[in-house]
Amino acid sequence: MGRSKWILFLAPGFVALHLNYWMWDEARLVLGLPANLFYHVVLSLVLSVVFVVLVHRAWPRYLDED
Amino acid sequence: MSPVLGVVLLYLAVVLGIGFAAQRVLRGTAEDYFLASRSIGATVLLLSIFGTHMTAFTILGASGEAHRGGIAVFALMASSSALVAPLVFYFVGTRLWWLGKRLGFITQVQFFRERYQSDRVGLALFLVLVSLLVPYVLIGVKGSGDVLWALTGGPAGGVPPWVGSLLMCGVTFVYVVQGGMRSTAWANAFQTLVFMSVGAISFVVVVREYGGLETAMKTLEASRPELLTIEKSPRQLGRMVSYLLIPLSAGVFPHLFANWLSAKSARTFRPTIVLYPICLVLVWVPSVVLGVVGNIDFPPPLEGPILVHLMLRHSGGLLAGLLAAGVFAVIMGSLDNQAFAAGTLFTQDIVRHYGFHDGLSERGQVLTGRLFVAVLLGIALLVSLTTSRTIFDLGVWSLSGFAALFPVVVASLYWRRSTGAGVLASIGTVALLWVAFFVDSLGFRGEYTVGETGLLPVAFLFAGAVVSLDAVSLATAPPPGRVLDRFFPAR
Repeated sequence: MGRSKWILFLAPGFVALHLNYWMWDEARLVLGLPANLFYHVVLSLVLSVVFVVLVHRAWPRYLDED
Repeated sequence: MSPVLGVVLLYLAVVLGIGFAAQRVLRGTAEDYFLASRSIGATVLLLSIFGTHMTAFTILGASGEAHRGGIAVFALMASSSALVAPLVFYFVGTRLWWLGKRLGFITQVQFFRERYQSDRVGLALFLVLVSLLVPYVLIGVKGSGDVLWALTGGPAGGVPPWVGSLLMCGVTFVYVVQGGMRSTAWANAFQTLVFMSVGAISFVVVVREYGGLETAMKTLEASRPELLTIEKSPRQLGRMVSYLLIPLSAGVFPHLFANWLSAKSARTFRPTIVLYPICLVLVWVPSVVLGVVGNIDFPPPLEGPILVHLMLRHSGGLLAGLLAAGVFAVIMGSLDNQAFAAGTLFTQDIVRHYGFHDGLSERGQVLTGRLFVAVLLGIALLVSLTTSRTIFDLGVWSLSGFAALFPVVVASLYWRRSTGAGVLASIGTVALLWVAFFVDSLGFRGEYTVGETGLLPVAFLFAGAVVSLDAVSLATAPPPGRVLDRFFPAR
């Protein structure tokens, strides 16, 4: 697994961010979307950026060897 | 002919055309038919995996759930997948691709049989995978018939549901058997683009009718504010935790396994891993928002899918036809791979392994694969005519079973000490618990959770799988080093 181990430590943090219990009753609208929906959309986009780093900085070398 | 039927038939003709195009480059070998000669590039892989993973559940189930329960479904299903699915592709998909290419596997069952040197492991896995695939296939077959019926007039002369289901099964059968994995992947890529576009168009058309997104949400805020928040309760927290386990099913689906093994190289997976969360947002936000907004004109209880009501009310026949094409696209994108994967499993792991002791000719393998696709689609079509469970219910049960087998997949790839006996114990535990919970849920109204805790059966299935796998593996003799050396990269 090598350098990809760091994602295993980050994953619980993202699980905690996913379970955003503290704002579930937030009724505000943000850019027309309910605050919780907006939050989860932004979280998904942040994850995409994290995965860019993952595949470029922690790509297992054996996968590219014949 | 109604515009709806016209658009649907046009869409089906394009899909058939893709099947014919793929057939022209078919080489006739088993590896080419079942895995497209491991040649699929990054763009088609992303669109094909995404199209395979998204089902009728995404458009019809999610919007229906949003209509009944509000925006929580996005966090439950979409954002949990955005977190979990790319990690599954990274840790499981790429490694299985690497092993498949090195050791020449075509199916999961072949991999497990070799990894644990056990026919019993292979057979147990085959039975469980195919049993779980059938209800999942049903979701698609049933959804297509229901939607075409509703969009063409429903009780007032709509196309009978069995005709829509038969049409979809027939077209899927033709293009799957024409070009095998290649035509399936190409068709999936096209279907993904279709349902993404239809979702965006439907969203813009309907939201504009309500005066824009903010106005529509403010209207709801005044009448049904609970739909715009997430219920703050321990039960809901239990659901949210349970649903985080569901996307692990991506690591077990035989139809995704086939997609992974068709990739040209490991690096081909990179765009899929990175762009997956964005694709999920693009498809799920319109679906969930439309489901919620549908409460303005169509408060529950409602007969038929909410999206169908919205399109019929707010757009002309052409847009309703586009919606029908979008629903067909999202359904066929999964159905083709599921039927194809089941055909591949049956051909490679039953007929070829047991019937011909791994000696069946290449042509014989392709013919058997085609035959089993027809059998599976036929069974799904017949059962879909008699089942009454909602699309959402069927989906969650099937996904739960697949997700609960994820520990077995991870152990096979990363835990050298796991044994065949441990895997058998884990598969048996999952099967028994699944049946027990399913029987207990019969007659239950609404979403079934264990002891009303909010925890779905998947949480208990998953825990049972881990405990039995670990306990029995540690209590039995470790696998021989010569086997492990083939399956683990050199350190």
